[in-house]
Amino acid sequence: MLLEVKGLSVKYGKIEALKDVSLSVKEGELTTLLGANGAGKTTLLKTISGLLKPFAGEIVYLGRRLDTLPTDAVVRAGISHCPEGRKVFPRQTVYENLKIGAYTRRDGEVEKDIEDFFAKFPRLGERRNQRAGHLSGGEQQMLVICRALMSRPKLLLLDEPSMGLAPFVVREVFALIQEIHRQGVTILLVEQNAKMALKVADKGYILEVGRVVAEDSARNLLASETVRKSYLGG
Amino acid sequence: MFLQYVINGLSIGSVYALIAIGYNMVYGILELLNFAHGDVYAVGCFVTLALIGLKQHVVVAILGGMMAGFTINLIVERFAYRPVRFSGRVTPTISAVGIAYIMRNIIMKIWGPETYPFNIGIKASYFTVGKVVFGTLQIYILLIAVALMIFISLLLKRTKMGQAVVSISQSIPTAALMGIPVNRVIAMVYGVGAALGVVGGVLFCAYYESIFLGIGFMLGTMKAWMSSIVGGIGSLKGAVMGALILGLTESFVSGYVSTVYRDAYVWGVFILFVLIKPQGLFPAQISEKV
Ligand SMILES: Nc1ncnc2c1ncn2[C@@H]1O[C@H](COP(=O)(O)OP(=O)(O)OP(=O)(O)O)[C@@H](O)[C@H]1O
Ligand SMILES: [Mg+2]
Repeated sequence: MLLEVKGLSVKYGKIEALKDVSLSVKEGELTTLLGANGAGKTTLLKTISGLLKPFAGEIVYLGRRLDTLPTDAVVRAGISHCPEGRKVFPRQTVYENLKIGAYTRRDGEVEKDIEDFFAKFPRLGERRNQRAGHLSGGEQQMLVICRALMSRPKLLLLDEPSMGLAPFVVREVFALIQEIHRQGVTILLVEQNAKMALKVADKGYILEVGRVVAEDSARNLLASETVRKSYLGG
Repeated sequence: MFLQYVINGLSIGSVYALIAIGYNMVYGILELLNFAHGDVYAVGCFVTLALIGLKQHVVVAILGGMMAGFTINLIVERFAYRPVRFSGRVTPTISAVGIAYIMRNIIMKIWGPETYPFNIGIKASYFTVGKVVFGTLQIYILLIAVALMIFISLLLKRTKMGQAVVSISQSIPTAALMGIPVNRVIAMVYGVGAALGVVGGVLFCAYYESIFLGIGFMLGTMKAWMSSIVGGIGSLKGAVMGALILGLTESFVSGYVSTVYRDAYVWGVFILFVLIKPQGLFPAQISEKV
């Protein structure tokens, strides 16, 4: 296992947002985490990346305890978290956003990686010197995913990358996720769009008010009657 | 005369700019009104005074003062601000006021309340171009201030550390997710802000050829605050423009209106400005904060 979450409990003051959550992510796989609003999906990702500290339980990554590390050490260990809500740095240019994504890197290939992204997404390339705050929602989403990849992570945490985007942009985002997966990056994908997520995923977890209520292969979850009823719209 | 007032206003304004940069950057990142800014760099200015008294070269004396300001702010950030960073807005402000008192008491204990002559060894000679009188000291002040401001803006735009500061000022958690060691960078901003404040304070004291306890709060924190409000809270550009406008206003008021009531008139202009343009001249920065 690349990542193992064991008996995790996270509190905001007195509110327990995660209760005894266990989950594991296998190297090379795309694991998806589904659940309604307020289920605790974002809380779980934030705890993995060290933005939140757990109240109980542990997170083990490559055999090392992760839950005691500060966020910058988590990134250096090879985990990149692309947060929900397209958090570009609006005052910095598209180029500067990508560059800061490589903050932890010491190798000489940062510029090359940036050019590769610009070649792949010409709309970003054309706007390389524009402020990221001026991009459209879809362009911002592509930018933050590329920015998260700039640290060359082993494990990518994606929080609702399709939220609030037009259907054709959602397809583009999912195509990118699949491509990243094919290139060997392990992915933990949080989504509300359960159908699309399960179609590209290897494995899925379902979270309900802070608890894991189902865990299975993506194929079985897609076929399951209960999942179909509550998450796939009948 | 007009041109003369412009020159005077720009040279004092550029001193205010150096003082305001560190103050405004901290505000931009943490939304903390750093009431201790002036008193921290005042300690650095007194260290410079002491080093000059010990017959050190003026450059060494100023560097020593900058080191003092830098170090004090690293310590203050770690023990007085970081523990209360996420405790709302009031607690860190109170913490800053406490630090300001401690700094003032340190100066009081060592140097007392008296005014000392302050001389950084630049002869106050003058020359005239047409009808405008230039002081050599004024020219030096302007050059040093402009050079430092260009240096800082290049640092922010072109270095990894500078870009990290710019990212942090937009969103601390998102910056952390880039792998930026947020605490260390914020401490650096405090440190560098104080060091720049020391340069501003030293130039200010050199301009008036004297130094006393009050340079910190009345002439430092208040001017930095006014500059930041006028220019727009949170940005380098806002700090510099606000400070230049403040300097020019002071110069014009003393030139055309009244020297004695200068500060009262400047406050009047300031209050009028805040009523007309409460977000300052470059307000984009905070509203875009995520
Ligand atoms: N900063 C906070 N302070 C207090 N409670 C919070 C905070 N953030 C989240 N919560 C609560 O924790 C629970 C889980 O929230 P979380 O954001 O993890 O859900 P989510 O599954 O990501 O939801 P969404 O699909 O809306 O993004 C919710 O009940 C939420 O109200
Ligand atoms: Mg969420």
